Amino acid sequence: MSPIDEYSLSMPPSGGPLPDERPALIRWYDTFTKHLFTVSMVGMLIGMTLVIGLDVILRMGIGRPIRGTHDVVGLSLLMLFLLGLPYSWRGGHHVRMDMLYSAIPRGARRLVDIFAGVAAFIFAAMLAYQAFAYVPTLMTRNAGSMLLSIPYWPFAIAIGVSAILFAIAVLMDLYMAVSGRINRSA
Amino acid sequence: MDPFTLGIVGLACVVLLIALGVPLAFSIGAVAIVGNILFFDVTRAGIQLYNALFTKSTDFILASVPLFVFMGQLVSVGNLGKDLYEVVYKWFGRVPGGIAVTSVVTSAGFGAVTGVSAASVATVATLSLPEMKRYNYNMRLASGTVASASTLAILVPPSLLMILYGLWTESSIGQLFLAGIVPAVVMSVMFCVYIVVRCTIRPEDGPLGPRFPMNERLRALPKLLPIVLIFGIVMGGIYSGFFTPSEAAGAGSFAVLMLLLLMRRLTWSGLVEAAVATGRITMMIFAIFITVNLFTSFLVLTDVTPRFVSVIAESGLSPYMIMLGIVVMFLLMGMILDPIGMLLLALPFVFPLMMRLGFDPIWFGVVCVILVEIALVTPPVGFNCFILKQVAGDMVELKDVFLGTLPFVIMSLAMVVLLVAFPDLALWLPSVFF
Repeated sequence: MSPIDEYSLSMPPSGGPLPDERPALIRWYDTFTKHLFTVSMVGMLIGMTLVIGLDVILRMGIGRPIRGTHDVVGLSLLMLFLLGLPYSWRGGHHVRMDMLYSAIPRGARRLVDIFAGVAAFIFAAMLAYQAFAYVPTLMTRNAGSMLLSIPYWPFAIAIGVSAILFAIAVLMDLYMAVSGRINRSA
Repeated sequence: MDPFTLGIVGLACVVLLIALGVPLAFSIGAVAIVGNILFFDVTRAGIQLYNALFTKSTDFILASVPLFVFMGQLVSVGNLGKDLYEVVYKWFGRVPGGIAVTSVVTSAGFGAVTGVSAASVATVATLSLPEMKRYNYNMRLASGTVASASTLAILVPPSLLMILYGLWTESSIGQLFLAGIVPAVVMSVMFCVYIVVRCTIRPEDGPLGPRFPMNERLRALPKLLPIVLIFGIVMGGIYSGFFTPSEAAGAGSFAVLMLLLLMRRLTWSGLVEAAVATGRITMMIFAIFITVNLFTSFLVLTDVTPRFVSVIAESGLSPYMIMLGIVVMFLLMGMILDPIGMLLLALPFVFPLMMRLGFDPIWFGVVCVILVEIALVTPPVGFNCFILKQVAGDMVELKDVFLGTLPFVIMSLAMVVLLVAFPDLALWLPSVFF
């Protein structure tokens, strides 16, 4: 039995499979971000589990916890979110209230999709701009994690890159919405 | 535009966008960003967004969310729920409506190691529905029982919704976990008594199951060991002071991984499946959590939340009338929103209000979780009913699933009334430990 995504409201579409009208570039990008998502989830979750598990065992067993566990787990959590973000849009991992959405005509639905894309793009663009703008400040201040002093500036770059990858995914979705093609990736 | 008007316009925009079907996280995020730009300027709005993402996403406490979900998904792919069901079936299968009772007990037990109800409904429905069909159960009762009982999983600790409530309201997650235990037991007993009484009066609704000899029943008990061990590590670790809730989540996942390896039940594909399912839930929660955080600051800045709280609190209505209004609001929201979106959207308004009225935050957390449970089985978006229908196929109509949950919804509401009348049902156990 497969685990079920508890909080996704989207139900499987009724009827037969829809045709895939994605251009090759979008298909490639979807595959790339999906792999990024899968690899990061497996890697980060197992990593976090092992670090915390060993930390607890060492602390309870010989009174010597792993130094900086909180730093490592905190930053792993950030990476988990960042690496998963680009696929989350095209993969449909966001909750929407679709009662009205599914009842309105296709043209109006397309308008909503375009607006949703614009809203997500604002979010991504703002985040990318701010993340890159912050890098020099973080480097100058030597900002880093509490115990291990892991520098924060590479993570600011990672936030910026992730936001750009996310913005690309949103733009691809916008293209599909504007051109009225059937989108099978999610 | 004065700040208050800006806040109200922002709130109206969020409601409109959500209603139109724009994903929650981006409806809220976009309005919060634009609102902050208008309130401050572009640079400051950008800094706020970056800080909200960075501080929340690196918060060690928030690691408990993916790790508890991961633990539950591993338990699910490792088929530990099936073992639990088989043991419970051997002990309770023979009472009137025994398979339905087994479903309730299994769901509550499954909740002790998962914290999300979908895993529970899928597991229990797969095992129990064909069995109930074979014994000619009333399928409305059968499906209603499984869909409703699975919601117990989010009341029994460790509970994902309680973690989110605790993180959002800065309440003790340890206390919340304990506070959920007595109400969960009371609700489980209510559900079981209802089934037994109904099937005693109308035996055709739930005929007796097979009788298992005592030695077979006793021989089945060791199958419970992994679940008892996992629950013991997680809860024992928290309440003995060895772990924080986040560490408990990591230690719990670690324990499940080791157990499944020892039991030779862990496959690579199962591991990937569990991680990907965890990732989907985590992305959704984090996106809403971060953007609601940003939007809440915006509402406080523009004085919307403080004024809302003042207006309601000083309206002259009794606290219990206001509480009733909140229950109705949750029920209505539950009909159109998903559980997490509903909880995180409502809390910025209702939590300060409830605190101002003098209600206990831990008690209110338990009430919120029960109301969210109800949302999982009420139409039109009763998520558990949809999962059950997918698992059940032609065995039952969706309409019958929803109708079947009705008695359980009434019992859950009765639990809310009991909690209002006797808050110690939730608060007694935390007071013993803390």
